[in-house]
This record gives sequence, structure tokens and C-alpha cells, in this order.
Amino acid sequence: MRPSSSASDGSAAPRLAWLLLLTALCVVPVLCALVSGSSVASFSMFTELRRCRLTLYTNSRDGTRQRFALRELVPYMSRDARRVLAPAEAGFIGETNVELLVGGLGHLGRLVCQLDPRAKSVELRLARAQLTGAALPEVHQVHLCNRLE
Amino acid sequence: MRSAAWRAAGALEVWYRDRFAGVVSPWPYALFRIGIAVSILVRTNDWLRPIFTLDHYAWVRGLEYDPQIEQVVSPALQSPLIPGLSIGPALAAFLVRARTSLAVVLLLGIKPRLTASILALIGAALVAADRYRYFHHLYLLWLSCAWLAITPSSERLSLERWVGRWPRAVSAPRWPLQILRQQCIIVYLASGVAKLNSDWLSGRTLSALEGLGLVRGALWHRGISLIGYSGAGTGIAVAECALGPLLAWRRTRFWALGAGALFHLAISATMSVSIFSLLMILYLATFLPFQECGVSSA
Repeated sequence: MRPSSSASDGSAAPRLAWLLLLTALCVVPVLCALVSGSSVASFSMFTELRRCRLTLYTNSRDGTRQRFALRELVPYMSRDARRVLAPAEAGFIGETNVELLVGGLGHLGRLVCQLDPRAKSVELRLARAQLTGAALPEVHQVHLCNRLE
Repeated sequence: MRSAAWRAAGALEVWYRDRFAGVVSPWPYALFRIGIAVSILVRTNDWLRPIFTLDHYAWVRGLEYDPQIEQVVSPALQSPLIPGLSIGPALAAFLVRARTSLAVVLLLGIKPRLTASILALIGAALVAADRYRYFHHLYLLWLSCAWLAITPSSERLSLERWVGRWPRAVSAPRWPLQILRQQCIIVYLASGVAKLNSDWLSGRTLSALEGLGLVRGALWHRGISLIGYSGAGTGIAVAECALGPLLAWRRTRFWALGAGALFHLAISATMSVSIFSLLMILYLATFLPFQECGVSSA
């Protein structure tokens, strides 16, 4: 066997299990991202750009459906959220930001519920397309505003 | 059959251990620590705004994520990257200041392993508390900071060693250096493999990035007039896929180092990638021929 980790000059490699664990910490997040198609932790850097446009609607208790302007949410957003979300209504091109936006639609819905007391539910529609213009499946979420009557 | 498998596993274990055994000059660790600390200090505020124009100044004012500067109206949008992670304004204000203070402590080389551990946790938590803060270069930054927690970086350029007049070690274990190199190779491979798609290779992605103003400059326009969008896309993908193996192999390392440095200088001059090029040059520097003595020379 090779030198053990107890060598006093520090030249020995640590235990194999420890080295394999550290290697896994390097490799596994990237592999998981690649396999799952996620760009977070993938180091993919601008490679899967998508066009997207976000539209919000509120459904009131009386049955009316109204467009909710995303700009009304801007004061309630962090600077980074503004950077990503403010252009989303007009449409933007992004990679990781599009994925982050999809994952955060429920949070946006909850915020709209908090701000619009008449809203019974919030509808969030994210239209997506490839750079060639070929449409991708639209993401459509309905967030119910749970209010105490 | 079974004994052959055991022999192969044993040989693999020996090979793997040999890559990591040995000693190296402590300098690469100290330089990496200082580079990461400087990167954190540069990236998480806009203090150099009067001197330089950096990409993140487009949206960063003062200390990044400082609630007192962001002035978010209540009820604030809560959208963490890690479900359930919530950092209130008071805690966030404390953490952004702690992040800056700890980066200075890391720069000075005071308890660098502990400092780097805490700093990586704080930095990652602040990013993960709001999904829209995520950037690949920030992920790499905090990941690199976490690697400093296993790196013996206080043997050189360390205030605590200088003040305490502690004896300086002549060498340091080589295995943390190999982990850093491994991380560098994985970034290149992941980035290169992700580019092997029709949008990137046809040049459509680069053309769109140019339209967004994310790729620009005289060098870019000259390059595109010479090789076209498709040529540039293919060239970048090939370069990233090739750099990892070329750095790993000792015979090609020297040329890969030069090519890698030029590659990042070109990216830095043409693309909005914030500190990504700086971080990758730090990683490339770990491949420099420091006095290295291993069981093998890989």
C-alpha cells in the first residue's frame, strides 16, 4: 500500500475515502446539473439562451380577471430580483435567469396575493422560445391566495 | 475474474493516491488565498468605481445585498434558492459587513482555514437567500473560498505568522493543490461540454449575446470578421473542452497555461463575465511549476 496519512512530513496523501469525497464535491454538483438539465452549478455560461416573457393576471372573488403589471412589484424586490424580473414583462433573453424565474413563480404569486387584497388567485404565464424562435412549452401556474375569511 | 477486479481496484487506488501524495512549495496556496480574498473584496462592493469600470457596477451600489442600500419595501419578495432559507434585514446587514471584514482577515492570512470556512458559508447563504442573486462566477467564487478551508495557505504572506515569528514550513502537502487543479479542469470540461449544442456551435448564441451587448469590443469585431460567429462558437467550445486534458497532462501543461491565460484575457476583453476570468486565471496559476515533489509527477 501507499504511505499512510500519518506520515510526519506531510507528503502522504490523506485517506482514499477523503480524497474521493473531495473529488465528488467537485464533480457531483456539475454532473447533477448536466443530467437534470439545470444550469445552476453547471458552469454552462451563456450556452442555452432562451427568449421568455412573463405575464401575470389576478382572478378576483367576483370572477373578474385582470392583468397585473410586474412593475408594481419592483419596490418589493431586491436589486438582483429587479435586474432579472423588471424586463420580464416586455420579454428578455437569458439562460440561468429563465430557470430561476420558473422556480420562483410561486413566490411571485404569493407576493401579488399579499399586495392585492381582492385577488382570489394569481395566474402566472411564462412564454418561452428558443433563439431560433421555436416555441417551448409555456409555464403556467395558478397560485391560490389563502386568506382567512 | 474476481481477483482481476480486485487487482484493478487496487491499482486504481494506488494511481489515485499517487496523484495526491507528495509535497509542494507553500506559495501556490498563499497566492490562491490572496487572489480569492481580493476577488471577494472587488466583487462584493463598488469601492473601485472611481478607478475602474467593472461589470457588476451596473447593479451593485455600496456593499452588495446591504438592505440599507437596497431599500426594499415590505412585504419584500422572498424567493430563496434553497427552500426555507430566509435571512431578515438585520441579519443580512450583519452578514454583508461580516463578509467584508472576513475577506480582509483572509487577505491578511489570519486563521485562513477557519476564516475561509465561515466566509464561504456567509457568502453562499447570502446568495442562496435570493435566487436572483445567482451567477456562475459567484458560485465559483464561494466554492473556491470553501476549498481554502482545506488548503494550508498561512505558510507564506501571513500576518499571524509574521507577528508571531512562527517558523515557516519549507513545503506543504500537495493534495490540496491537486484538488484545486481538479476543480479547474472540471469547470473547463463542464463549460465546454455545455457548449456542444447547435445554438452555440452555429453561432446563434454568440450573435444573440452580441445583440444584448454582452459581447463587444474591437477585438470581438475583428475576430468575427475573420472567423464568423460559427467559427468563434466552435473555437470557444473546442478550447474549453481541450484545456482540461491539456492542463492535466504534464507534457502539454506549459502550452495549455499560455493558451488558457490568453483565452481568459480575450474573454475578459470581449464579454461581460465579471470576475470569472480573474478566478480562472487564479486556478490556472495553480498549474505553474512550483517546487513539486510527488510520488508521480502528474
